[in-house]
Amino acid sequence: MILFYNKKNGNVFATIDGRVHDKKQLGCYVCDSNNKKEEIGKFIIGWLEGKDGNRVEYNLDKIKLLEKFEDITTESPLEYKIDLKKGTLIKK
Amino acid sequence: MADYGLRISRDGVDVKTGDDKDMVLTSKYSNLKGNLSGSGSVSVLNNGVTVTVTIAHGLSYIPMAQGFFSENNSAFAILPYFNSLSGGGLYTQYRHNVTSDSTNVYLKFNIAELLGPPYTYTVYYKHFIFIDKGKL
Repeated sequence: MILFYNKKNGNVFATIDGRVHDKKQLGCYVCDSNNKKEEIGKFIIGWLEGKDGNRVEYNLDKIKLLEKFEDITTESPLEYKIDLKKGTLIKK
Repeated sequence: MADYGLRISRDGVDVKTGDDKDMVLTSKYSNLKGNLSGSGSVSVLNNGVTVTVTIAHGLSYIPMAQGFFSENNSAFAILPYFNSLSGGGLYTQYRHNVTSDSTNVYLKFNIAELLGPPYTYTVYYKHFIFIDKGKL
């Protein structure tokens, strides 16, 4: 999952679903009136797959949390934010 | 192979014993061909000004896209959504829509309340972008 957050306040405002993302998906972004493109950061939970098929892990210590996000009935990624000092995902 | 009927593994991985993450395809999970999905929330003021969520899809053609919205992140309605509701002294018009071009998918939210004070709604949305290239 790719979580999009505002680099000014760490607020997570959008996601792209999935566990394994390719380069094309990594190039995608979401922005709106309150979150301009240049203010957006990305936090990945899962794997990035290169053209050679190799997968690089990102933040897999959060994989249990990702399962809750995917379940949609337990927790929402929109209830979280990025700790801008530590670069970690924390609850709002 | 208990909880799925179809499974295809990556090269070099045993399809019977491999982990789900090493499968190219498994009917255990959604298999809409190559869709890009996601969700989010956006603040929309009730002044009739359209707020646009822009999703850069990374495709070079106009994809088919679906959008959904909710005001409670629970019950979602499909876009487009055009409705007028009255109650509690308010008259609220909703004009929500989804469009796409060869660069982006746009979710557009517009709420106008002709009576009552300024108010900011939190609109939750979900989107599904189908990567199958159509005839657009």
